Amino acid sequence: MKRLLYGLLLVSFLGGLTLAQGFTVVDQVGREVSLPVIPQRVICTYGVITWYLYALGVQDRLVLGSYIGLKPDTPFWALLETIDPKLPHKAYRGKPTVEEILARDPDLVLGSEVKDLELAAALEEVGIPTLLFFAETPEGIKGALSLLGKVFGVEGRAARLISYFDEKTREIAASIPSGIEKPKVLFVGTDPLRVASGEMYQSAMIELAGGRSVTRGIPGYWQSVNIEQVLLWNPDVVFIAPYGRVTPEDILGDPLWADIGAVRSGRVYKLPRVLAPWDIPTPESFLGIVWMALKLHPDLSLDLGVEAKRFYREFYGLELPQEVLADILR
Amino acid sequence: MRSRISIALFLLPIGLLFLYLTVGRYKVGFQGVVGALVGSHDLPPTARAVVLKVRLPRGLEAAVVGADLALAGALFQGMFRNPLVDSRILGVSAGAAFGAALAILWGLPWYLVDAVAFAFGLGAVWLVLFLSRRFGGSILVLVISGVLVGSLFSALLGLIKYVADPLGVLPAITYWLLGGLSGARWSDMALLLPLSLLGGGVLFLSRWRVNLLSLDEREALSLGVNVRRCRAGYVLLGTLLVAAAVSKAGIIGWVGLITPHAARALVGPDHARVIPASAALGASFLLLLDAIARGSMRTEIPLGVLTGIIGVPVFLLLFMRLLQGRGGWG
Repeated sequence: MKRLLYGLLLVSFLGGLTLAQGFTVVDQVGREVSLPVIPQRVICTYGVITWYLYALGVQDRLVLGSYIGLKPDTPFWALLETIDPKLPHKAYRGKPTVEEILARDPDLVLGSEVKDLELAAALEEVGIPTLLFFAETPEGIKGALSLLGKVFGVEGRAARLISYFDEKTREIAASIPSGIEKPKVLFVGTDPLRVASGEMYQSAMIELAGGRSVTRGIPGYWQSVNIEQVLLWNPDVVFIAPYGRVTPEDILGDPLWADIGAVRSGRVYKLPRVLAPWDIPTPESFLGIVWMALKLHPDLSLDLGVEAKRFYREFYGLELPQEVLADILR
Repeated sequence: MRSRISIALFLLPIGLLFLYLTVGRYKVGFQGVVGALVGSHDLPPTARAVVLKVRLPRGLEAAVVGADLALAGALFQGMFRNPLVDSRILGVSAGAAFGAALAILWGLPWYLVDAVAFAFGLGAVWLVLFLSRRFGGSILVLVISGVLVGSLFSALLGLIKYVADPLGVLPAITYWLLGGLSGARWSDMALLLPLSLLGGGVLFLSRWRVNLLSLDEREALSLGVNVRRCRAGYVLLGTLLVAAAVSKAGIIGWVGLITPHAARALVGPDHARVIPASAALGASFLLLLDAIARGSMRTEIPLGVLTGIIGVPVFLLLFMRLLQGRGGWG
């Protein structure tokens, strides 16, 4: 036992020697940040980026994180706990304050370009390196992955995730005949008349999946529309965000929607989720794109079940339970 | 002259409602609207549905909500002898907003969200009345209690927004609070119409008494009116109107503040005339603005934003001069 302990100490000492030299990275805002060592105690205040640490298999380094779209007492929480038993101790609701961050003694903080500029400045004062991310576009996601790969020394895994995205989107684009008109798609959120703008990641997913977002050109975040505008758009397919209370039945059973193409053909679907919702810009959204592509082009030669099983096994170390798989494939 | 103004005020919302029906994203046209209203069968079913099931209930809802808010504003301005008072003075809106947020947080179905909002609006004013009676019952105490209770509920609302899940629940709360009538349909009238008819009807029939309420307490007593009891009754009446409007359309500012002034500028300070004139102007104002809100862009412009941006300068220009001509307020 004692020998084992000494051995471990020696290994960590030697490891520390090689890592202690540190290195400099440029974050997604263009800030140059020098990291003294490979970080071991990480805090993530950007609810999207927290999920990336799981895809890269470095969730053990996370000591405190904000998780977008995750609540306790849900099947998603329970599933995440199977690959991260310490989840209840690190999941933070809302946004941690500077003092709470300091109390956890982190050696790296990951934040959001939009919301955490002030936090980063405050942490800089006390000598804690902070990286800011902007991961709301396909390019942003890839950039965040390769940056995190470098930071945590898992470049290979990050590169595999990026090439998974590139391969799948290329495959989808290649197998859609160029002559056909792409199906018009509406993406709704927490209310059937609350729709994802053209600038949101959801619209980018639709385009990558071989559809045409009807909100193309509409700026901003979630936007309210009225049913007349939906009638004008006349979408061929309606996707519903995985969170919120809207169900396909709400839309299919509504007489005011009855004349809309998607309702006539019954093509109203709610996105699935496994860990994070599949429309949030995390690596899991790559499967969201595959799922969308199969709903938009049912003849595609992609097998979502096979893809999902492989994806979660390879990147999350997670064997998908049968009922989760059935949920995805419904 | 006086009766001509009355007739014009009576006809104004009716004319605007017809105009309202011809505006919208979906092209129906003037003849289509007439055809739908007289039950012509030459019309495509979608155009018919747009006029009769989308625009008509929404237009009526806009008119009723506008009238409710204006009536409550006129009543409260008269009662409190204060030109800066509006329908939110007694904490009704804040209470209703808190109730709605709570109901959304609990995951209640939508029709219950509105009911809970209504109940909390009434509850807030009950608390105000209780406090004001406890501390002497003067108008000053009543107003201070209203401001305090309103602030308390606003703070509690802030707390709910802070703890709410930012993906599913928070957007739903924000959506509700933003207000607007984008999802209006006939079933909404089930609560709104009877409450508004009751509140508005009683107020209309007893409108002359509001003049007495704006008198000094001793003066009123010498005329044989128990001001305190009377005031409590009118507070409840106004509350009923505001709570009905807010629980259906969210928080819409400015209507309750400005339309009574406009009414006074047109018909003079006598509440027997100000009250019906306010209702007509409030209904017209909201009909006009909601037509802009739903017809001008692909996405809806929040009504509360429009009432401020368009309402304030228009009423300033139109009525400040008139008010000055008549020798000021009251």
